[in-house]
Amino acid sequence: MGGAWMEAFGPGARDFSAPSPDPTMPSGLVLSPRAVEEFDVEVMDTPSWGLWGSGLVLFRRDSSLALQRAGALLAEAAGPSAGGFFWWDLRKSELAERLGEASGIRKIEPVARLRVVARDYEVSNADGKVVFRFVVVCAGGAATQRVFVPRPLRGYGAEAAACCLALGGSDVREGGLLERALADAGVSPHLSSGLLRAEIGPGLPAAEALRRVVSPALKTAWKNEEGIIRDTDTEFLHDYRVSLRKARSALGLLSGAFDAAGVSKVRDALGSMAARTNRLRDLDVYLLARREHEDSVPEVLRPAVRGLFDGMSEERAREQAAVASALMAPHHQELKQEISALFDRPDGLKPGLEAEVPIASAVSSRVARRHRKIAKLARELGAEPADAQLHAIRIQCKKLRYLLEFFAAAVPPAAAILEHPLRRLQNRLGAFNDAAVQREFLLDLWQHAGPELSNDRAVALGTLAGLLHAQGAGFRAGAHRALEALVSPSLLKSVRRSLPAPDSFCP
Amino acid sequence: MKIFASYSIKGGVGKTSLSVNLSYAFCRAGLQTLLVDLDPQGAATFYFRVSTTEKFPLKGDGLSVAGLRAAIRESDYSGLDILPASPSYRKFDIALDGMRKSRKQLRFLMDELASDYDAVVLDCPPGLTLLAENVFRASDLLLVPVIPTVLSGRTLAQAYAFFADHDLPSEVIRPFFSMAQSSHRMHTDLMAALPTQFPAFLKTVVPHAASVEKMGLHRSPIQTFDPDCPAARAYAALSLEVLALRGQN
Repeated sequence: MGGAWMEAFGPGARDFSAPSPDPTMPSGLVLSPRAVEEFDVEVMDTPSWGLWGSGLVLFRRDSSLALQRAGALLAEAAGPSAGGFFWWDLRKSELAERLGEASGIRKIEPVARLRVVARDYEVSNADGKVVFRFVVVCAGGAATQRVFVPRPLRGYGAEAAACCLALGGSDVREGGLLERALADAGVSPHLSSGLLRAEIGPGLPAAEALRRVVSPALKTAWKNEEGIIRDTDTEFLHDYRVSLRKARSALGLLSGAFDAAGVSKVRDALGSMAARTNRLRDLDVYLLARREHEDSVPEVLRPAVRGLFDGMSEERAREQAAVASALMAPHHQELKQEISALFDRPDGLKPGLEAEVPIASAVSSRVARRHRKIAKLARELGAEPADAQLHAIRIQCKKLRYLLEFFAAAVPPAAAILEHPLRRLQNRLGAFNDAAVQREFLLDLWQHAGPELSNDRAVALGTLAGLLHAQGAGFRAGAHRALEALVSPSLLKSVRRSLPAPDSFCP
Repeated sequence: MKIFASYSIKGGVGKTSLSVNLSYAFCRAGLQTLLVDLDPQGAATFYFRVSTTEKFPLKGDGLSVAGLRAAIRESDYSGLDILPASPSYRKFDIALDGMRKSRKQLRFLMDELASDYDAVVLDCPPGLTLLAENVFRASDLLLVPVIPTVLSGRTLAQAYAFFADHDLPSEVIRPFFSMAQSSHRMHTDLMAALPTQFPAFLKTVVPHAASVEKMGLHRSPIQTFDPDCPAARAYAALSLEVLALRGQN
């Protein structure tokens, strides 16, 4: 599948700016058009442009897949000729492996269809010897998007230089052929770090700052609904829940910016929306780790574990249909519009007591308070902390991280100081919590299974729950060490010093 | 990298036709190939429409690989490069004579190209010169076209004698019948007799064909303009036979 047309999307291509398709060659050289190839290719990527973000472009032509980086072919393999797929749907190959690294658990789907026309040319000297070859490639149909790929022949550098000059020959313009062809097709690669970083200056009033955080979070949540309804991949639901949680948390973290009654209503509605998807998300988490769980038990228990997962798969299908139906329901759509309207304009919600407080002041006092609270909870931990105690710390950490993520621009030094130790602790607490949730999920299955639960499935459930328990214990130890670093006296002091005085931004 | 020389003491036996068509067959077989036109007449260079070089990189203390690389030209066929002939070859023997290890200079030069090519074909001028001895020492196979005539048989015997006199490995010599005519009685008689005297004869016989002469008109290998003629098929078969000999098929 590879060829000059693919190089046309790389840095080796040059803008074809000759006045006619068959340009005039330097004196003594004769241009001969050769083969013309015309075909459609699909550009494939994940919904979050994960391949593009990794510097990769995946093309599909019929059932052939070609992965390139900077115009150079990295790997080729056969794949489905239509629709999307996950990397694990492909046969084991270098291409599948590279896609796995770049796409993770996201589905790879066609994002654009491009018409490619590649015309080969040869240039000969007076002896009829070919001294230069080039391919003119047009993608997306527009004449302005032509580039040529030079194919110089060894020993004929002077002729190649003269020909390139006649063809235009400048380096390809910014953006390259692919970007321009995608733009022509109405597609724009959008990369997102997943972080919510609004443009917020330290002196911005708290209500306006909060509105600038909540509004995009809601938009992101609504945007993911289509993927959930289509059941493209599980990340749509994940991103939906994260966005709802961020919007809800932001409103809670900066209570006082808006009228309490209005905020409470919105938070309840967002909480209900997220809660409606809890079961589906739990099942997703479990099913995503299906292979890992199957491999973690002895061979003899695998059929029973497979049976468990088959049951979960069936339940997930039912749950997904129910969630999709709820998302499509008219009252949900109306509720979304109502909530969005509250944050789309500055006067949507009634202002609260702290509405006009500069955001840096509002945030700095909250950051200091959260950090101190985590330190206090850490001091209360005994040698054998209870799960509930660690859970409480995890929640406080999450609130602190959200504060810093949403309003980093208001308190940049504190955000920078806390970023790494906080992330380290959260990763460990998150892993500990995931193991605990999954263990509880299994025990719940066991408790509600009734007498029809076969012995082998019961043993499988017990084994998996035991493994998760042991796994959780490992994460717990790691979390303890990370917590000590986060609440060390020196870090507490650094953070306190980095935060502005509460009234320093008051007009 | 394997080095194949197209060589004969005698002129006009089909050395250049062999070099051109063998090189082409090698590149079609997927081998990165270099044809070195060592003959000042530059016929192989002409067949590929390449210009002869102004100066060949000869130096006082050895042949220059940098100069050689700069002189290489890509042919019209993917995977086949040409080192064109040069009028400087007239002084080749004199230049070699002034160098240390003068009989191995070509081998040293070819060793430098080992990473660039899978196969090198040397198109040699006739004669038993110092350049010829360099060719003998550089080549893995010395392919000798033999027209089934008495004089050709005699020059083949002279080549074997030279190898014996100079302690060169005669097993590299692989003669084959070239420009053979089955309707010619003397040809058929000698084609029966010579292999008994020289058992290293290759099986492939390249017949006399007008198409071979037309290479000059087309300025391209015979396989490109008359691929089904007996001579084109013979060269293709010959390439397979020599590749099999070197375990490269």
